[in-house]
Amino acid sequence: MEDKSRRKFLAIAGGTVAAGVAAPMLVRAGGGPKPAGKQWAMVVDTRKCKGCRACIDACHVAHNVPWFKDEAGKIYKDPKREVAWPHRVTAEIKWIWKEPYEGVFPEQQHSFTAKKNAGRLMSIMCNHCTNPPCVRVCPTQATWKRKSDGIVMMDMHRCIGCRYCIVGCPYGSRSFNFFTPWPRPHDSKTGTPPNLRFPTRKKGAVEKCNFCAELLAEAKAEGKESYTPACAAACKGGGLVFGDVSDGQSAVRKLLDENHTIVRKPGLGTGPQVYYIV
Amino acid sequence: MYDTGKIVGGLVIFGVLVSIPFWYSTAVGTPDRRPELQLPTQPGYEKCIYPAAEMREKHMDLLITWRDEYVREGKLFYTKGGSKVTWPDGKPMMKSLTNTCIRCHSNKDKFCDECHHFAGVQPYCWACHVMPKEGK
Repeated sequence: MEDKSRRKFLAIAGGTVAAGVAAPMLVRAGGGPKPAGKQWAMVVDTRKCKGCRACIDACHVAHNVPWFKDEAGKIYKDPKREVAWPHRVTAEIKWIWKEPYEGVFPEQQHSFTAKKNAGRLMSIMCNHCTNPPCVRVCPTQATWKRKSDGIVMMDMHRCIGCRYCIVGCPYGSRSFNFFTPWPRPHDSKTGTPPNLRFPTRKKGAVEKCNFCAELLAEAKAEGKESYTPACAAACKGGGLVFGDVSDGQSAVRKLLDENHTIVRKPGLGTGPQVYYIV
Repeated sequence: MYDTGKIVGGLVIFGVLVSIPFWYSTAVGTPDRRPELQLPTQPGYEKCIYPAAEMREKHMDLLITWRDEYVREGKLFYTKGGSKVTWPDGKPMMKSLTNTCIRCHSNKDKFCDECHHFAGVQPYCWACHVMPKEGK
């Protein structure tokens, strides 16, 4: 009797351990779950990046992205970040920004990484994962994965500023408004932001790239079903290609089919939907 | 009973103080100033989506409902009887404070704030949603 119950116990314990090990592996296989339905995605063709900031500037204007100054009046924006990694300025609000190759793909470098890639800046943004950890940890569902098109949405009305999502996101794609973000110094004369079609925010809200969901809404008002985010529209070299990855005929899928593309930190099983051609 | 005089006197004083607003307004009358809303005058934009009385009572519920439907449920357009309501220029009407309401009620100071100041309410919409020309 005793032997039998011990055997049973060992079987259950062994099974539990095996399931615990296997489940994450299954999730991680292939970089995360495949998009269940429509999924907007971006292909960043780094070969075409001319190294300008047009994508960043366009995004920041379109979304009234805040910036803060320190006590000395210096903007919380470290110019060094664009030449050396890691330089973090936690007060910076990031939607789309640039990071050197080593920071974007830390697991994709070795002793003999191509010299052209050392310190090469690449545009990064929210990956709009198919298995987003930020959504899992949000206690108020202020951030959620939109079923209709796969955008990881952010509802600043509902955000309580707990910053779990910032901890949960492995890509640093989420930023917190540590200070009163509005009006920005150069907007304080009028108190009016550059883009009145998009709101500003309050201190204590988390924000991130929303794949220009507001432009999709505007496109829908005009009867269109597709749109181009501000960064992709601004890219002079055509290095940011946007489309529905579940549509086999889309420009994004064409690039994915014909090129070797990588994603950031595939081993985490988050299913990033921003693909890179390096 | 001890100190009857003090207690009754105190109660009378208390009663007078508490009822000041009532007898003061009876004696002096209600203030002349009432909020005067600046209503839209552009041709084609004079008529609101609901009657004024209904809007006066329920606009905050409408805005909250619109917010949730637009942001959370992706129901972008205002519908009546199952069909999209359109602007005079033919475009569908979005559920939006800063894109829809202010197209007619273009002056926040003379429309929104006029009543809100009078009634002493401070909606936090304006902490993030900014109106053109505000603060100039």
